[in-house]
Amino acid sequence: MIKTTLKQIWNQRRTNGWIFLEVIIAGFFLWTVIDPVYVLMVNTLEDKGYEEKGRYVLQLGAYGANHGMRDTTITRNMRKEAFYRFIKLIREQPEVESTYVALYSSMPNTGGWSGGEYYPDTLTMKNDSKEEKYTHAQQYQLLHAEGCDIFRTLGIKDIHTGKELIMPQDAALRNLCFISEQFAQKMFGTTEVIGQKVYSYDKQQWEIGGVFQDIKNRDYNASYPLFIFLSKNLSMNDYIHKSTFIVFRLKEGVDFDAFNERFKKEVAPHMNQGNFYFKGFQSFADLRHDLGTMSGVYNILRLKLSLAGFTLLCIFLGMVGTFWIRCNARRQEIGLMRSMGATEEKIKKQFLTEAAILVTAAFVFSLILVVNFVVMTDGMAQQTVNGDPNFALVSEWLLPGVQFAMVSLITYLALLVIALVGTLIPVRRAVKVLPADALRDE
Amino acid sequence: MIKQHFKQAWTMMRQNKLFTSIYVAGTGLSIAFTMVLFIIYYVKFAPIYPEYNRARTLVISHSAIAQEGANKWNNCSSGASPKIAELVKGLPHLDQIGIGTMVPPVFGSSVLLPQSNEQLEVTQGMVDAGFWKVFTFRFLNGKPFDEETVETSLPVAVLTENLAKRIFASTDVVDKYFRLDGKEIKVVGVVADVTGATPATAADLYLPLFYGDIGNLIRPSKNPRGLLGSNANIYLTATSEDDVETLRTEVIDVLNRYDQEDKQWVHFWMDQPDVWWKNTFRNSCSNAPDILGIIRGILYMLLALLFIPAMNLCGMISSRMDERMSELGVRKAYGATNVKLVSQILTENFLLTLAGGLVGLVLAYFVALTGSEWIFNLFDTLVIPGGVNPSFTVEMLFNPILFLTVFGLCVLLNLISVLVPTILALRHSIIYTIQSKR
Repeated sequence: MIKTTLKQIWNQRRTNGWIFLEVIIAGFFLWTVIDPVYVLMVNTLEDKGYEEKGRYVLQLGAYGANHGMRDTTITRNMRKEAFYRFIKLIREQPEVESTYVALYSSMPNTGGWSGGEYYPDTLTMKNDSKEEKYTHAQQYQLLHAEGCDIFRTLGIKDIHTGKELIMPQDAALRNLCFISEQFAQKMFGTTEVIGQKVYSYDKQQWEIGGVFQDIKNRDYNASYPLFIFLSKNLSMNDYIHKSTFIVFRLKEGVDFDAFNERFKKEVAPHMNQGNFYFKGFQSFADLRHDLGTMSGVYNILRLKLSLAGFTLLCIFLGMVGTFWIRCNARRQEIGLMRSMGATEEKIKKQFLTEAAILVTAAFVFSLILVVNFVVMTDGMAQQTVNGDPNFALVSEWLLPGVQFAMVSLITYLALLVIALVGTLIPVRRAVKVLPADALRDE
Repeated sequence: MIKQHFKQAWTMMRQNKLFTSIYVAGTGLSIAFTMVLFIIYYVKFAPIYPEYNRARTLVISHSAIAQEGANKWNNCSSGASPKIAELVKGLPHLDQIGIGTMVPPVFGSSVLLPQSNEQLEVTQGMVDAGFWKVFTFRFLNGKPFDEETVETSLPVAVLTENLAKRIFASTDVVDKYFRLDGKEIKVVGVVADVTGATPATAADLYLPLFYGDIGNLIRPSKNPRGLLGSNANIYLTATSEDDVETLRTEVIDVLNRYDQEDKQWVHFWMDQPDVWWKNTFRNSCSNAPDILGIIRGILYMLLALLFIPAMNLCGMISSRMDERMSELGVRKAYGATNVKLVSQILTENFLLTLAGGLVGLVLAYFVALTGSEWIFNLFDTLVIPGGVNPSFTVEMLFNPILFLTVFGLCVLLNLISVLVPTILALRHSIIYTIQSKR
């Protein structure tokens, strides 16, 4: 049957040539469109490492130096006290399970990113030794405040127990830090590191208090080594409400709308102090959505997916058109085959095989073009952390070979499925014709 | 003759409904996508209210600085210092200088709506007196504020029509007062609304450049010579479109001279000032935009958008030529030349392509109107949420350039998809042509 099909393809080479050429170009174009989407999807599918549902951020407003509502008698200390009162106020709401205070945007999906170099000992630091050995990591700096716990608030898991990591009450006193699994593996080659010391570039020292499961700072980026530490210092400035956030987790089963309604009515009026005022709450899901919009990720997805849809629709139309004309031209052949006992399924299969061979052969040429493109332009999409490919750790799904194979497979399957559906529609109609009618037409 | 061709094409369209539908759908799809791309860039580049002077405007919107002796910037900012305006004043080919920056609601300024007693977060345009001369706003009432008002940072504002109506339920509000961030502001003028599609000028209200907390951030840095630390955009209009390049050279000279006089700081202008279209691609404060790379990317996309459907149409026309071989053979036998036959087929198919063009244009309008919130920044890597609604205006969607482009695309698509298969089909001898398909 394959031999007959190949013969058919060759006989129709002039019309096949056009669809063949179209699939080559479309295959190449589709590959380049799917590639960045694949990278985004691999990153998105990676476990966040924290829970998003039921997590919210308090949105505060502040009256600036020239604001008409600003109380000029309020001092910096009074503002600080007001801020600490807000933390306590949120923590003590009956619907709230736990809270933490993120300094310098130390929470996922804010768009902010700060990090640095960390060392396992002071000997390997620059200027002290020729061999510099550090771990580059993102840092989350949290405010040490009574009852605050990032792990409980975000549901971040202890790598050893698989349960939520428990932050010791005296974490700030003991100057404890907490590191992600990637951090531990990169610096020590193991996660059995509790009690060991970590040093920053300026020789500040922490003791490791726990190792937690990797978390992603941005939903569309891969996770990166993370270093969490506590700070006793809340530095007050006019823009503190833009960089320091009170994050909280609602108790299971609490309805956010009901909580929000009650809070606005009963609590929010008491928050007009320290030249601050209550603006509202933002859910973690909204934060993620806002960052996706702001960083252009949604635009990339919109653009690439519409271009992929365009290409596939063109292939679909091409297949329907080509095979429709071909089926009409081969009506007598179909009639003859039917009268000789060929079933509808068999004829359909022959046409579908023809389409599959066409697409497969054309895609081989597309791949040759793709390889050229990748080699000449270093054109494979790269995963990044905070927009920088140098910061990204390579997921096994994004190793160059694996990425190339996966993107090629997805492109091929998309082309094949669309081509087969496009072929099936006219062929199904054509095989329904009665043999006598088809033969009489001739 | 052409009438005859169209008549024949119309009959064939009615006889081959599937062919017609696929042809029109394929062409429509190609033209719709290409037109969406065209509309996005048309809105960015073409003269659109109130940015009618784009063609003769230069922009400085980013700055980078290093201490003397360094060969690479070490501090950069998405903004330029108003001090630049002082330096370039009086250049021979300079017509106007305007300074402005649009501050989105995310910075938290709000206007009190007296009827509902609610606070409305607004986009504020912090602008100088020259801004009103560079950009051609349509004043419904009142007039722009002058240089003296900007110097003294008086609490006055020009409102857009929409905001004026929300605060006062009227646009006849000159000399009335409203509250911005708890302070009384006097209205000096009301302008026709500006869509968010023109981000350089889109705001809800316009205030003197250095007014309030935000104005303080725009003031030139305290460093006596450093031109970093402000968040303004500097707009310079040349005396005519022909003088833009000369003005650009003059501005570069002035900036270079300033740098040479300074022993402490080196400024990196990254190929600025930009002509308007180039500035729309500038999104990094540390590097000039890779214009060639961007053009390559757009051309690549355009080629795919035109060629993939064209291949489709080629295939279908090629199959149809097989069916019409005997007809063409008979016409050849009676003396029709190949040129005549090709032009007949081109004309026939042009009718179909035009129908596709019309479908494509309607589809492009549909996509543009339903996706106006995101379509203008489809190619941007930094999108500030909130701000003025980026809606389309009539001049953006209905203009001769746009219609001419659709027509041009139809001609191009028709040529690409018809010419090759037709010439291939017609190269056979008359006998072969007549004999085929009998």
